[in-house]
Amino acid sequence: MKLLSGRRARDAAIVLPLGAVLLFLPPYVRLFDQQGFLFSLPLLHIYIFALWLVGIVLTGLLARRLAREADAESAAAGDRPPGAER
Amino acid sequence: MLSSGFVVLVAGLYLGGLFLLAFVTERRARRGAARFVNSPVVYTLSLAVYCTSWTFFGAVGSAARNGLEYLTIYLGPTIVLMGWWLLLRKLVRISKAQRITSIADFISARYGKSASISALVTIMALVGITPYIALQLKAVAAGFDALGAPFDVPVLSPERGLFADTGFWVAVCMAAFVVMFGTRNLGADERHPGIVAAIAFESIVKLLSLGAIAVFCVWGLGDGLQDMFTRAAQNPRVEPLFGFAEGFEGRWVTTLFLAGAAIICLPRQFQVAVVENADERHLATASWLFPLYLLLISIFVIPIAIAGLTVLPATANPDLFVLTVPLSEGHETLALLAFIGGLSAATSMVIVASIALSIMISNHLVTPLLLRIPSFSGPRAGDFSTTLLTIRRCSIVAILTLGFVYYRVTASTNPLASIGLISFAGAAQFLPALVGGIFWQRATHKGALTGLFAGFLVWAYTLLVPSFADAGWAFTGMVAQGPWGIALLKPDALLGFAGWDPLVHGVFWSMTVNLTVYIVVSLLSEQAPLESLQSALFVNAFQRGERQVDGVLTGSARTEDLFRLTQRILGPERAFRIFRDYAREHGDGEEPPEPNPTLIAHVERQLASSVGAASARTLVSRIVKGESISLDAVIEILDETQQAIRTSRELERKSRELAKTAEELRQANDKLTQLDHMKDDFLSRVSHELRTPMTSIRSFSEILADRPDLDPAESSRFLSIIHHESERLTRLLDEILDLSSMESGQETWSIVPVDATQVVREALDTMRGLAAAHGVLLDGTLLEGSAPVMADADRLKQVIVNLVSNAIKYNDAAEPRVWVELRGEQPGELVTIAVRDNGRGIPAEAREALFAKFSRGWNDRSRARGGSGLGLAISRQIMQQLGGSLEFDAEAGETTFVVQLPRRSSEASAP
Repeated sequence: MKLLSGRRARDAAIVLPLGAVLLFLPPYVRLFDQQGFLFSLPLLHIYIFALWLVGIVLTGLLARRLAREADAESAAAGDRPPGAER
Repeated sequence: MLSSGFVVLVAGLYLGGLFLLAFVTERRARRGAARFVNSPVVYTLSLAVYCTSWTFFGAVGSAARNGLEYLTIYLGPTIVLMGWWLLLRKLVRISKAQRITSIADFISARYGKSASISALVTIMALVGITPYIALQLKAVAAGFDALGAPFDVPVLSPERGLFADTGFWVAVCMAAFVVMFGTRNLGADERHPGIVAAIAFESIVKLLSLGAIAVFCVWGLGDGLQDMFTRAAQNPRVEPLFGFAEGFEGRWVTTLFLAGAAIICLPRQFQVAVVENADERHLATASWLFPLYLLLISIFVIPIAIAGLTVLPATANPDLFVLTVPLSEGHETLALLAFIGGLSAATSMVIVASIALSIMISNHLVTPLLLRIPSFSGPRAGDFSTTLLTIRRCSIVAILTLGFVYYRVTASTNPLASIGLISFAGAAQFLPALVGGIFWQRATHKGALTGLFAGFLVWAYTLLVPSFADAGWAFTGMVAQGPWGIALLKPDALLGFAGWDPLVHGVFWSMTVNLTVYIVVSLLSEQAPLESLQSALFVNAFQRGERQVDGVLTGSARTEDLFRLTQRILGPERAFRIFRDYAREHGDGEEPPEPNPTLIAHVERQLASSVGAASARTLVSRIVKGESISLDAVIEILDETQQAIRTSRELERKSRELAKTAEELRQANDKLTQLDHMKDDFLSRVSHELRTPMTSIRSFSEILADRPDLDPAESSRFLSIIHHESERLTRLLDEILDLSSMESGQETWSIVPVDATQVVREALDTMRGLAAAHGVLLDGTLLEGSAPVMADADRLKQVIVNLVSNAIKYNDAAEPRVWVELRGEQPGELVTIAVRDNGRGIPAEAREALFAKFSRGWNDRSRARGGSGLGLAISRQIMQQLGGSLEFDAEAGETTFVVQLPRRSSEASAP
């Protein structure tokens, strides 16, 4: 995750949902709309749910990175953490 | 067969357990002990209030009817949560800074704490959400009835009496629950730990019971996944689940958009996601955990839908597959578990939605009205906090009554999913004003108000009216033929857009109108000062803290008045704490704090956390005297960021300029130093040059004075030397004076049309004597005709004479010759006079300084010949003054000086 530092992580946080929108919209979502089964599961279901799961994993990794960064930032600025009671 | 008494008992026990959980959590939270409520997992589970009974029962129904379209309802929020860094984080940050209590409060605070916007949003939410609440009642009632009689097709008969209607008792139970836990106190920031704990628990129950049914469908009914899909593939009814129908795109995109909008725009989602958020970092966890929850729910739906379609008869209601599949196999306990899951889904939605709506109604509809009544708003009015709580309780009862009435009237005609989607479309109308408000600073109050209103009208016309007509309740004629028989205005085919899916049609038109009006009116209108301030705070939420804003509002109020106001709205205990904490923080010790603008702003924020921004503004402005917004301060805040950018650019530019200036200065300094050297050089040479004749004059005159006995021939020779030397001295001084007067521009010139040929000829005539004396052959190749130029004839002649005499005097060739040529007969050409000699030329290193005064060209050789060293400098000065040039032509090999003057055109012959 060293790759995703600072600016790049923040850019990725914007690119990820945009990419998800694109892949879940037609025509992409139709890519696997075919008759056929893989491991006895329909291809279309595998496509959608696998994509979904990959999205979740990426978001999770990115969120950890971004949260750490936000903490570091607020610590550097000498602020209270953003969620603290005022 | 489950007896209804047993079902009621189990449901009652479940709800009782929920009460207990909420109660204990609330108690512990007051003591600051319920830390688990502040965990990111509980936050995520509370977001799952999104999955209502519409999901629990309706998603299966939707999957059975329309195939995979149900997935969009879960994909939309997934995408929004993935983009938490961009949108949700900003919403949470702003809400904390502004003490936002609801979505209506948020939008109104953004557009200048406008009471009209918050009222409009509240009414829109009420109209949009009532069918949704009705839907929950219907789902629970239908589920309850299905447990008794699973395959009666009309699950609900409207002619049943009020008390025999299951929906009535469901509504009563929920109202009691919400009144008890939703309105216990006026929280510091509208957070309800007890409720959050209860709905988080319910989210677990939902997930587990749906999962249990799904597992039963896969492994209980058949022999695992492979078996299920193989059997499904043979059944034509299941086919829609394995692929997309023709033309699915419109609805797919629309429902994806609506679901994404709903996760932030539905009042209850805004409540749990933004208002109840305890820590911004919880979003980071929710960003992947909540999509995971939705993914699991979506996966569970598929086997249940397949089982329902393959096992049950075609007449079975798909919306109840979750219950009827286990019932048909005789698994009553599982069916009961499913019912409890559905009950959880419904209760959690109703609880949160009614709390969110009651806060909005009390803060944005009732309080502004009450504040108009003098007995409520006067300085001596009583405690307002209990009134506020009463209003909220009444609102909750009213909301549930409204939902129940809707449920009774529209009965059971629409499938669950279509009612839910109409609500989603209603909530989506908030999206432009909400998202535009936090990213577009120019958006104005007028734009938001008109956009919301227009979108709401079109939504009601294109979606609500047809749904009423479908239910046979009202507007049937209007939907069939169009209002007043105008087919173009038919609610489901506006402007002739016939043949579209009604939902796609309604969302398309309402969002188009909403967005267009919002943008156009915003561009055409101006922001009020308070609005500018708020828009800057919202759009730049990450750039500055709230503290910098204090002092923007100026005005004065007495501390007692402020305290009394706080006491009335928030109760004595909290008012005391607020003022004590403020005084401590600002260093006043235990003394009452100074009533400065900072205190006023602080009090307003505290009030806003209970009654909303607009009402807080109204209340505070009543007791603050001479209040005005300092425009300068607003502009300062608005401009702060841009200013910083501008300043740094300015600095950059200045430093570039400075560097340039420094460089120029350095060059100028170099030049000056050089000039200074030249001046010194000049002076020393001038004095040296003056000394030579002076010395000889002095010595000869001394001889004449000392020796009177000198013979006359000798003395007359001495006198002639003295005369000669003083002439030379005078000439030198004349030339210096001449040059300096020319350089300083004091010289008066008589520039008239002259014939250059004539001037050169005269100059040559003058020089013939000198040429003859030096034995130099002087050649003149002149024009036959005339070469008219504008010049001072004497000065021009002086230049030629100087050049020719130099050529003669310094020519040391064996057969010295000097040529003078004049060219330039064609009009428009330059008149060129070239003076050339066959002498040994000028060494390359001396050429550069040739035209400088007394410079190196002034060598010993020149002095020996009586030159002053100023001739070329004067000549060049003259030519520049005449608009011409004097150059040394190095290429010619021989020594050539070239004089050029523009030829006077014949038209401009007149001087």
